[in-house]
Amino acid sequence: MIPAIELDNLSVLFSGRPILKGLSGAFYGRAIGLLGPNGAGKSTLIQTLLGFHPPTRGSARVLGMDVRTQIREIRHAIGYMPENDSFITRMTGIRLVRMMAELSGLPPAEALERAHETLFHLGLGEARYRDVGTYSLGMKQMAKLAVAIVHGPRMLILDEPTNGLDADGRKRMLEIIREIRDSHDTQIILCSHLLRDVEECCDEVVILKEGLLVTHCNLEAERRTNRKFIQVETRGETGVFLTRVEQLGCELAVNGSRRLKMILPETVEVRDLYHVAAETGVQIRRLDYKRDSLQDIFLKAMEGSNGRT
Amino acid sequence: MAVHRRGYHQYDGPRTPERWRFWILARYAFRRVFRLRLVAIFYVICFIPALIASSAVYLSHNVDVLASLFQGERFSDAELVPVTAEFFLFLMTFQASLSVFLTALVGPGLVSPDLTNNALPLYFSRPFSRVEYVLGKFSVLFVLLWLVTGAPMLFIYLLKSSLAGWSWFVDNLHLAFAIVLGSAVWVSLLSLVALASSAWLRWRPAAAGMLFALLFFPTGFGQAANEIMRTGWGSLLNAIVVIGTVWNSLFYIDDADGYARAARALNPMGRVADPIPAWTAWLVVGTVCAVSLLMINRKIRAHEVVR
Repeated sequence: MIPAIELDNLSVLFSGRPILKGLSGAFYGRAIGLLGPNGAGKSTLIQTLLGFHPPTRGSARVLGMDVRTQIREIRHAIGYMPENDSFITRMTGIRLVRMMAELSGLPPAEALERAHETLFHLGLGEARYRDVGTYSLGMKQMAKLAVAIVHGPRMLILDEPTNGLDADGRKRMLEIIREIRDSHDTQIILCSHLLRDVEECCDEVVILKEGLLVTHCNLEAERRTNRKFIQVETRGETGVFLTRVEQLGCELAVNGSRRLKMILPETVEVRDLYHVAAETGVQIRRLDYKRDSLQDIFLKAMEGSNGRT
Repeated sequence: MAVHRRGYHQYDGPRTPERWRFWILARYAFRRVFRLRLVAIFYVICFIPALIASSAVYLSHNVDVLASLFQGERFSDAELVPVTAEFFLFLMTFQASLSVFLTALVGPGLVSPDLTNNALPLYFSRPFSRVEYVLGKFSVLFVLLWLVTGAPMLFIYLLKSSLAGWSWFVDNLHLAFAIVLGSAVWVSLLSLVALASSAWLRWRPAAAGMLFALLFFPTGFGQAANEIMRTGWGSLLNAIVVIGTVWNSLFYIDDADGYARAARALNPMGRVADPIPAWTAWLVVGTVCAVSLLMINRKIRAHEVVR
């Protein structure tokens, strides 16, 4: 399987100042979240993948293509939604999206058809003959997304797609991103400051700090692991219950007389605990999965002072 | 399925060849340019002098039509409108001055709005290079300006050839060459300077003002230098003298006397001793084009790196 992005000791310098410092890794996720505080190098990484900045050292590959030698092919395969307002004045939505589709290589008739289709799909069908300059902030975000997806790219790079959107707009944007992700046609790179956005859309997360890659984790695997870490609150005599639970292969930590933390082995399910509890006369009053949220992962990553994995 | 019911899906149909993709920018720009009524009206006006000149050439070969228009007048057999290098030089100068105003109307709106609205990442995240972007914008001005400078004169040349015969066409082939190359040089120079000022000054009126300033401010400075230092080299800063010298070198390519006469005619105020050599004028044109390209290269980037 070809990784969506493959970095090999990638370094980028501006005027001798290192912005990206030897990033390495291969990312395979359908939707990859790119996180990091301001100045971490997220935008520079995206721009390097787009060929806006040449790598100073090392290499980067997008969908198996090298950013130094195959940038034109890469740009055929990707769609980019920039963070800031980006549009062409005195142009209607339909003409803007159609022109961008033509610049991506679509014949004029196909470009027009797909521009209509995309704008309808994103809820701008009624506004497609209006000047883009007159659009509201939310509509401009959708117009940028339309420009990014009109040519049906294999990879979509979204830089802060929910910036400035109200609750409804944000919900709609995330729904569309998930829909594109689930189409299985397109891989997504989502760069956002909002951890919830990334958590809702991505299955893989890359965290950058001061130009270094500090964490790379698979959120799906993380969620699966967390499903095996549970906290239980019991009522009744727990001595026999604990022994039986340990015999099942669970690791236990007793916190007070009623609260237990345990890690279940792969072979044990939660319902087995209920069986044991019933057999030993113990009531399970409360059972929680440990939720190691993306926020915890992010904070842990930020705590590492040397910024290394 | 109806367009408005379709969801997201990849495109795997045919793609257009990359070689002519820059022309997409020009195609869209023409429509935007002519949406401005002022530009459309002025563009039509630009053809009027050429229309008058071609009518005069036609009538000078059709004395009977002229006689029917002006009854009672007698017209001699001598050519009423001599179509010579002087004729084309005069017309070229007139059309070129109109093209400056046309450039001031169209040029500033080509690049500066893209920079102001941060549109360049949209272009360059596609299989579309900076060179293609500049070529696309350049071709908008080049085509518009060439149609009001070189094209009408070439039309007059062909009209005259059709009226005067094959021998006139062959004998004056150097004029056709001078028309094509001379107008192309002027139009390229003007287009590049306009694109550079549009790229550096994001406020459109300022970019238009800069175009005029670049053309006329050095002229005054050069004239002052000529007067004070009693030399002719200050004329190298005079856009009219420089481009005039370039055209003279083309129109009088095989006529040294004609060139000397035309060069003296270019002498501003009739006081400067020596006209500038043709090669220096070509050098100035080349330098201005190169500097404009460097300025454009500096500004046309997907992202500006703050150093």
